[in-house]
Amino acid sequence: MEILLNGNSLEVEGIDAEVTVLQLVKTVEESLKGSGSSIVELLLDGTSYCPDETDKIGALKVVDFAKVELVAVSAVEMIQAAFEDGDAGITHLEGVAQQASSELRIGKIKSAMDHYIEFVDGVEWLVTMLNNADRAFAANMAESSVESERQGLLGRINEQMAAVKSAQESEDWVGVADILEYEFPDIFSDARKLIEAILGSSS
Amino acid sequence: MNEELFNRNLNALRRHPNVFSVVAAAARNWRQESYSFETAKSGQPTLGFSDENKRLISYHSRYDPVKEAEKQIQASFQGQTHAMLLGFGLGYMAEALLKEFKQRVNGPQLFVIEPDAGVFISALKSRDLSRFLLDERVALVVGMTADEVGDLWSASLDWTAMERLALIDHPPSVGRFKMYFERVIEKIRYLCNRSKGNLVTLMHAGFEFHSNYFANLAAGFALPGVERLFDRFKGTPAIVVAAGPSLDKNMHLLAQVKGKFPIVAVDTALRQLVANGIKPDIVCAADPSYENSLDFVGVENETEVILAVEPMTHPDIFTSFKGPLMLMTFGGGLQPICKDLREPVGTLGCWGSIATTVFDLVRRMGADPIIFVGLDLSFQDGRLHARGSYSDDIFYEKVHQFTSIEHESAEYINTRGAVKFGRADGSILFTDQNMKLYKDWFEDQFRQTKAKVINATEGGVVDKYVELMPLARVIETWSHKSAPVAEILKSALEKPVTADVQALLSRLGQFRKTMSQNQSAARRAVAICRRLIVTSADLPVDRLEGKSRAEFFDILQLHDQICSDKDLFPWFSIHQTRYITRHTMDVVNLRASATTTVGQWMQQISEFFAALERFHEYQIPLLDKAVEELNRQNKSKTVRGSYCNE
Repeated sequence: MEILLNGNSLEVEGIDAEVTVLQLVKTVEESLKGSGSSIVELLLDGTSYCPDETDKIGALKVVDFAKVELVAVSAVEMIQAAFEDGDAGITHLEGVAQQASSELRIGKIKSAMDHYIEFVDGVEWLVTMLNNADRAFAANMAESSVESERQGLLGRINEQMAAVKSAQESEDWVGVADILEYEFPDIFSDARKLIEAILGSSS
Repeated sequence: MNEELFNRNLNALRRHPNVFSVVAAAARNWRQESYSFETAKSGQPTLGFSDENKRLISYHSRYDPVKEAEKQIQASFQGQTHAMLLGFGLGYMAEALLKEFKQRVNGPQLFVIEPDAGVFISALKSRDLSRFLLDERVALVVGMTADEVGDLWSASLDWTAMERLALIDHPPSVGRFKMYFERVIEKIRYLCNRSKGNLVTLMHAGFEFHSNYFANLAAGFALPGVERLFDRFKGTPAIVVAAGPSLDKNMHLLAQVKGKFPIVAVDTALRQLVANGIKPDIVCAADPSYENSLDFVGVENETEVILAVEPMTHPDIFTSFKGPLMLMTFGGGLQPICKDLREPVGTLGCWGSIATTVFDLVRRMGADPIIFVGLDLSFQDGRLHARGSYSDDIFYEKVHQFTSIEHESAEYINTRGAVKFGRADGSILFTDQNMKLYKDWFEDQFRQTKAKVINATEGGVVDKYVELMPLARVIETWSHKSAPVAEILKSALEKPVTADVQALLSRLGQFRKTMSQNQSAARRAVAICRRLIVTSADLPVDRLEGKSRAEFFDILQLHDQICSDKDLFPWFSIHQTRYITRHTMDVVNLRASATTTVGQWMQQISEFFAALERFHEYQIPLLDKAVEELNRQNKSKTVRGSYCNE
């Protein structure tokens, strides 16, 4: 059996037939304390699992797998990765917002709400990413124009999210569709530019 | 709010008199507070509505309502010939939809339903809708109940022109009036099924109906109408006798109410009633078939029974029945050409079964409660009808040494009884698709009937919006409310009838003349069609020139003129239902296509004139015979019942 952490072989003592994958993850996380990294993914004989899937991995025994690969990254690395995926993420969000809005306009509320939930999760991801930008790109964020753009953008996102949630709670579907169709495209476009600016300054 | 705009729209709205009166009345109480107007970023007005919880619902996009409407229509309209828009709002979707109709067919194509008159008034006050309101393709319904919507729609639609119907939501309106629009759709589906059935019936039996109208014209024109009975039994219980198998259970009890409550029966039940010693006060007949005329075999001399008869009925019934006759009408046939020439006949509804007509008659007589017996609308104990009906006669004809009437009935039920109903007592009853449709119709009508309706069938499947009660208990409960039935009926029969036979003869003469003229014109036109096919078949119409062009358009004009004759064209349509239905669709397609050639048009028109010739060959002798009979009767004054010939 082989255990790898970020591609490097890892020696773990005391692995017997009873040790679960969850226990292994906890042990490794313990050893990573202070490094700022945490495990974000594990591959068991090539099958990907999330460390949050505790029920699943708590039932799996380490010895049943020939190869256990653990992927650990730091918060900074995560933020950097998110910024690098930012363009694709925003493109996806634009599509989801468009889909939700089109469905709301023709009265397909149930299907639209599935897309709307995905949209809300996506905006949360964008806000988290922007809120944490200074942890990964501290030097770039020190530039006052970038920081004020970030604050301005976060303010607009919060404002429109409050409006869209209020419309959704009143079941004013045309109101929700309007915000998704007409307000968010500008926000997404500005977010894209801001991400480019932040990444551009760091390269 | 712009009052000038409102008045301009209101003026255009006069084309829709029903809506005009609703709006004129509602405008007096219209309060702006519930409606919020805003100008969209694109410059057009938009509307919001605040409900009782102050929750705001946007009716249209506050950014670009026109673009929004175009997207909505794009997603929901696939080029159908007709559309029903559920919710008007400020009218953006309705206008976008109108632009999408590629084919022009007879009658209204776009039916718009707006349940809130306040929203409609808001539209009239904020947008110039005059062009839309004046468009002949538009029919509007505002502030009406779902049932009224269905009835109005059904009455104004040209069913022969409808190929496909699109039901399109204006989502905010549908969200606000969910139950209302569900009911509208249910009603429309029901009407579509029914009308599809009516069209099929016309295709199969239209010829028979039409011949009977002419054959019965002389005998029926001067009969007293059932309108004389309308409202004459206000608040009196009345019995509707249908011919379902459960009639055997309780018809003997009807003797207890004879003379106290009017007893009105369907023709199919007459023989069983008479055989059991019950003479109904009125029996209704409307079926054009010979088979149905057999209902009267053996009961022709029941002179105490009034036969209320529709002129489409088989002529044998008119001639063989010796009792008093009254006329009723479904509004079709020759009624449109006769109605201004005599006192009112009394128009009744008919939805495929004579029991529906009997119900409508009793309802119009003002009866309350209306009590049904024999309304099974299902098969019971292996039988279709009460024992002794003509359906038994028909099955008897099939019986031979290896079978029995029970076997023949069971065979019929096994083949047709596809619809199953579980009853409250755990039993299962079977019915067929037609009776299921009648059940739906009756229950729909019961819901809309002010009088109390009691089903005392003691069996069957009709149980919604009706009180179920055994007949014995009904009689016990209501016996104190009786009316002098015989006296009322006698006075209705004896009053002289006002009917102008001379004017009818003159009108029929005019029809005869028009038909002769059409015959000659059509013969000439057919010759020109043939020539144009030889000389210009492959040419697109817009490339025709000179004399050929003039002849081509003269022929089309003659075609359109014949099709727009409000009296003769319906006769033609009934005689040639199958052909005219197909022709109407073909003409729509020819007009819609930019590449239609002269040959295609002339082929179509030649076929039309050939069908017209077949119609004339059939119609002219019918008309001549009716005129001859009317002349004979007019001279001898030997019509049934007394009448005053003005």
